Amino acid sequence: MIDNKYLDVDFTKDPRYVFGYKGPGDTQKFAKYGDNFPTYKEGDWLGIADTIGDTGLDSLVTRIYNQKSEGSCVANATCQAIEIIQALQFGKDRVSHLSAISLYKRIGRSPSSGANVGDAWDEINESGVLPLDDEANKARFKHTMPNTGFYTPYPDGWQTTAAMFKGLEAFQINSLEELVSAQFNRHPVVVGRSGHSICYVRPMNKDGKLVNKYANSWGDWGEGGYGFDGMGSMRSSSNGAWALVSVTAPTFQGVA
Amino acid sequence: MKRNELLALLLFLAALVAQVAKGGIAWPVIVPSGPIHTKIVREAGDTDKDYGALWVALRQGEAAAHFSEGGRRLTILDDDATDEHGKQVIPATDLQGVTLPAALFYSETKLVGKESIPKGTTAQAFIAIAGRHGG
Repeated sequence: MIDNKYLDVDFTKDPRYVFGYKGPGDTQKFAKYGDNFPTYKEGDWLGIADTIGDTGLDSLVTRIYNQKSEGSCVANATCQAIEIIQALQFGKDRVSHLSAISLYKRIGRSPSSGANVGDAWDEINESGVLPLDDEANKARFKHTMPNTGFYTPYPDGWQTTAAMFKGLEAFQINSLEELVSAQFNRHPVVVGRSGHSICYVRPMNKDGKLVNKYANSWGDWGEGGYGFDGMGSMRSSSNGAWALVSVTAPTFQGVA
Repeated sequence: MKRNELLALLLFLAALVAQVAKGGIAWPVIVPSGPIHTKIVREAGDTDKDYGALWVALRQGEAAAHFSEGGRRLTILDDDATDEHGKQVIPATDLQGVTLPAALFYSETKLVGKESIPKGTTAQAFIAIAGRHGG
């Protein structure tokens, strides 16, 4: 049962809101989602949503992020997408939690400047992100960072560890059909609207209407960290978003 | 060799030849005894809502438990996946003879089996596929 309190939320009216989403940025770099993956017509969406059961991307979320009072939502949503794909590729018990600030410092100009989602993709594709400074990661990796703290310095040589957590393939979302279809294909989508960025994880049937569940980065807000967008909000989010398809298979995962 | 032993041997060989001529002999599959690392390999564009649902289902419940017990592992990757050094992690030669998406079965680093994954395969059915290869 979805609580209407967290449906079509006006982020700007929430006390946790900090401006963070500046826009899509340069999305020409992406290949188009619809040119590379199957898409599904609107008339089929509710039927497909009803078949998802426990195979939605929300079942692969192992952590709800908390950006606290910094405008780093784009980085938080991006790191959430990377963790979801890690869970898919390697298993939920093999996810390394990530440091959003290690990404935001490269795409934002200040703690409250916000960032473009296109810039986030550039950075995770080019350089990757650092693992979060939790106990498991500190024991395994030479370089970690906290999730918040814009002025936290990068540790020396951080690039070698960040390279283990790169995005390999992502595709541009430019329509509502592509936005919804990507999630049916089990690709998380990083979107932005009303100055805030979130990670879409699951289209759902709510009383005969399609809504989209998203992982927010406001800690214990919402329904266990999640909110829901109706069609209008989804339409606002569908321009200039991107769907993450694959991430690096680092050697510590023992895949090769 | 005594005459009746020779006769028995000749009868056995004749029966063997007849069996092979009829339809061959189903030699038993030798299943590796060590833990198997199952690697599902797909081309990025392979994933649609049905395959996507299977990939996620394999990370839940009984399937997730199966592929984490007894040293077993399951990895799901694109065919051109790379590590942090840019090196491709799935050798192209390992994919010969199968249509993607496919499951490759490794005993330590040795490829011991492979099968294509038909559309519509359920998580339960995939566990059975892996089981045929010790995974």
